Amino acid sequence: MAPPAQSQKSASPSQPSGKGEVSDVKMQLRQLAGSRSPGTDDAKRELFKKVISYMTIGIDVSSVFSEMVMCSATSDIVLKKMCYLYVGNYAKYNPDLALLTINFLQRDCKDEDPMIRGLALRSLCSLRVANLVEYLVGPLGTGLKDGNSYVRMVAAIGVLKLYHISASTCMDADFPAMLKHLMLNDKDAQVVANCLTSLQEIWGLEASTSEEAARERETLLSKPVIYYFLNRIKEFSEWAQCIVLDLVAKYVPSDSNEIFDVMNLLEDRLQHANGAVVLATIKMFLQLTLSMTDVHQQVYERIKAPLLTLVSSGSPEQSYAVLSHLHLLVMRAPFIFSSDYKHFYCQYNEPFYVKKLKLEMLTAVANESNTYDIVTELCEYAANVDIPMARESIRAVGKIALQQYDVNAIVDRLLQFLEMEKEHVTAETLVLVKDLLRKYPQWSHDCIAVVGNISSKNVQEPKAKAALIWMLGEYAQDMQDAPYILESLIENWDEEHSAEVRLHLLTAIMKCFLRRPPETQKALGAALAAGLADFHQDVHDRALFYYRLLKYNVTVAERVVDPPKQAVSVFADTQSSEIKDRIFDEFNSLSVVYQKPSYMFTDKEHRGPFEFSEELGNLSIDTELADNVVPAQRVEANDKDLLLSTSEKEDNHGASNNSSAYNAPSYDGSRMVAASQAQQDLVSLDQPPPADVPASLAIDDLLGLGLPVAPSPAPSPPALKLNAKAVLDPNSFQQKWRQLPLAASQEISMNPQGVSCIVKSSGSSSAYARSFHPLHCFRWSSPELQVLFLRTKRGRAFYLSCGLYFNRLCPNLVCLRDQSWKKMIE
Amino acid sequence: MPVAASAIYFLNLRGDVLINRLYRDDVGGNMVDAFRTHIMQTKELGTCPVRQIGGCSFFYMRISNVYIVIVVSSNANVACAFKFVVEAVSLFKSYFGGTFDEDAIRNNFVLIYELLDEILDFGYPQNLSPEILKLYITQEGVRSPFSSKPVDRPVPNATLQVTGAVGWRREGLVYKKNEVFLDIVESVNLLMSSKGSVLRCDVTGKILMKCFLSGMPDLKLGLNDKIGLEKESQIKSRPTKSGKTIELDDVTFHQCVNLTRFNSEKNCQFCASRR
Repeated sequence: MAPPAQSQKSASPSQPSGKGEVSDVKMQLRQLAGSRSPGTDDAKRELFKKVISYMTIGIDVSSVFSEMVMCSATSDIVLKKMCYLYVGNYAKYNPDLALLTINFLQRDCKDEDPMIRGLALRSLCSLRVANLVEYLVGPLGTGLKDGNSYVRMVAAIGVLKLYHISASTCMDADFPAMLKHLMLNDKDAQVVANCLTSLQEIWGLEASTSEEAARERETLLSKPVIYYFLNRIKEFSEWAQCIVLDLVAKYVPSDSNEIFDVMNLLEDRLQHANGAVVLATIKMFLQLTLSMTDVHQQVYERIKAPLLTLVSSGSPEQSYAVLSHLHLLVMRAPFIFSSDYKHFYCQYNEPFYVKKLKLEMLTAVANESNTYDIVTELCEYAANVDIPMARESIRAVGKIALQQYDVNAIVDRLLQFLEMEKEHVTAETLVLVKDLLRKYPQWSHDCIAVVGNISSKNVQEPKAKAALIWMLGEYAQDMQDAPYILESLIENWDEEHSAEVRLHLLTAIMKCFLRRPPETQKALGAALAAGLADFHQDVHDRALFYYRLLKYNVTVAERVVDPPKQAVSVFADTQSSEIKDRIFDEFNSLSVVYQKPSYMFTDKEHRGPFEFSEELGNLSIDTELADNVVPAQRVEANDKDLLLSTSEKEDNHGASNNSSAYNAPSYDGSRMVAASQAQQDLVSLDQPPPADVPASLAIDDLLGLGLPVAPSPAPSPPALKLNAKAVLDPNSFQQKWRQLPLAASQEISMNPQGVSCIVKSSGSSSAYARSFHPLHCFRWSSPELQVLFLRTKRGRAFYLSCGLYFNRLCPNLVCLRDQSWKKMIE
Repeated sequence: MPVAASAIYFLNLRGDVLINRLYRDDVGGNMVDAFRTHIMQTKELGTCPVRQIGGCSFFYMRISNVYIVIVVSSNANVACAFKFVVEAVSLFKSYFGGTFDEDAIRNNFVLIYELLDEILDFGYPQNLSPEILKLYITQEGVRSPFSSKPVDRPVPNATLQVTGAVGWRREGLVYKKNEVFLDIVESVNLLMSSKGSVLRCDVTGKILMKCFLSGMPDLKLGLNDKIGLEKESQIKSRPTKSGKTIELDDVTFHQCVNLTRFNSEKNCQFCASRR
């Protein structure tokens, strides 16, 4: 339950503040606890209801815990249920008081009425108090053997609850074995299903630590067990069927006959009213036939109709879930659904998320035969009053065009969009036209004619503006007004808030200058001056870069800024096929909706610390947690410097190895390469030819730049500072280490003695090596440098990674480092 | 992976919690705050029914003026989760006499807690058929005064037939007058372009059966399909017209229909159904 402080905040003003009411209730409960008069139960009911309603709206009523327990001595089942609910909610926060409830819960577990037995057992398992687990084992054991299926059903899940509170208690009491027995022998289907659920979860979690559990998990997939479930499938409830079908999907039949048997048996499940059952069946069919290509295709044909039915029936949310799966299938086999494209036409009353998926589906199924119809339909949506929808549909048209079907007609249509004179339509279309031109330069003539008519004042969105500017620069020679439009844009430089647009503007004006110098010269000068004064680092750097490039050599500048381009043939697919396959393996789960494999959103590492901490900031979760995360981040920030410099070191190390000269000065020089200056090196500005000086002056004059001869002196390279006392714990070092790109690597297999030799021969007393375990990190340090070794074991070979940290630069350092490498090689 | 809901919340449009039920400890206690700040108070609301915030996935659905939110921390089965919510809502409706809104929830919160206890255990869907649940659930829904449906009192001493093979029907039903009502509800969807040409049309139909029959009768219902297939009750089908015979694209059946005998004459067992 939420702690009181927060619940007060979240409760709306109209709701009672709590304190007075709670103490009232407390008094009344006390009076009732002892009374035996008739009508007590009714009064109690009213009070209990009140308590639970307070609990629901977030008022902390844990203070009446003992009174509630006192009142729980009753035979009235309604009262009992309410009491169980209350106890289940607050026991976790009052472990001491929870002990009070054990007694009556245990007594209820032996009640005559199976319903009370079941309820009590469920509540007992839901207390979630770790030091009370010993009281759980007895009732659970009897519960599993109870004569009534309701109690057994509750007990089967109860075992799982126990496992989550205390795994060792659960394993020690041998509950999994009992569950297994029950699963294979009980005649009640729900009991069997619950046993299966519990066992899957328990063994799934245990499997990583215990080989026996891993084996047991395998036996769940063995032929007899699977057949046992399949034979009983009709007895299961729809939800249990989902679980069983999910299990069967993992089963690997021995031969194709078996596959067909299983599929024939389960084909009727495709007609089930529950969409989840149908999807589970589909998953199973697809998984079973993966190895048989032709049957796999037939399966697609077979599942098409049920899937399309599911899309059009049920709530929008259900359609959304089904459509996500359909989308995955369409991506894998577009041709199968290409004749059913009309099913993906949007209906006006569908929510946006369904429409969006349908649009994606339409782009995926488009081929030569249906493109015309689909694009016609999409063009209708583009005029939609719903702006996001209109945008999406224009993007869809563009995507289809990039797929190379019937480009001619599509380009015409896109250009018509530009004439619609709606801001959002124009904006989206411009971005698309830009992409199209990169792929089909042959259309430039038609496009440019239309794009040239667009006033840049009507385009406000940064992306669209950037696209327009790109086109102005790229096709400067075809567009009469290009230099002047760009010039007017540059005049408004200060009003342009998006750095992206300013960057594009710089590049465009450069291109324009290279093609039509006389007209652009003035604008270029203004742009470079504005760029140099820009507060945005990237814009500033780019302006500086262009300036120096021009100063150095205009032909080189042309080669860099405006080289002849090749048309893009395929735009990069954002997802690798490996990831797609993984998603397919996780069919019928969240992965499909998120379009990423489950490890990316369930593992903590992959979510990244940032997202998590943002959560914390906004949610004000327990301070305890927050404390854990914040220092971790701080450490990370510190590490970053440390490690970045390490990687740079390694870089240089590789370089200096190649050149035979190992003298300190040259090393120093190369060390100072900072990111923004790397580009200068490309055109080797470091050693300017003598003739350059007048040329640069000429350029300054030409551009009308009123800058001093030496324009903004190159910022002195940031001195590389190393943290002399960097202390990292092995785990975080290892994590950091892995994130670094590999700068130089040498792999040699060696035996453990060899490694310890290195450490010993490194000599000084400060060298130490902790015991050798796989994935271990140890450190040797001296005043000059620290050496960090990371040792990993893969199979029988040892890998030793070495990180070098230099505390101070000294001439003999390179040799030293070299020696250490040599030692490693030995 | 099955649903494994870690928590379920019922919220009103302002974001006040009407009902909350935590099933598992793997999500924080104030997930509902996350939902409020990240989904309800932003424009995100309504853009996607599945959202991920800090490692937890939120499935939400709006039903009249109530949001039902399911929080999961694992890789759950989405379709199953939504189907579950839909089923749960229809179950609640059957208890409240047809309405499901904020007031109905406020008036019935104890009953809802009781139901939530039975239909989900540790986050796994259990039994949602109203017929069986009536046996456990002691509370009676507070119905709105306008609905005057007769309430059939639960048989207090009924043996617990938790998960019998016939989950949708109680044994030992006797009616004085044995009657069956059949309703056919069809909706026609037509999509037309601005020029008047038909882009797409289909008909979705449902056959609803309400029966008051004693015992466990076998019923047969035939449908005249083009191929002469006979199909039976509780059908939600989507036939498309072609000439005079009816060609059925696809049909789905209520779980009481014996799906295996789909291609020949079939039997099915019925309950006085809620649909």
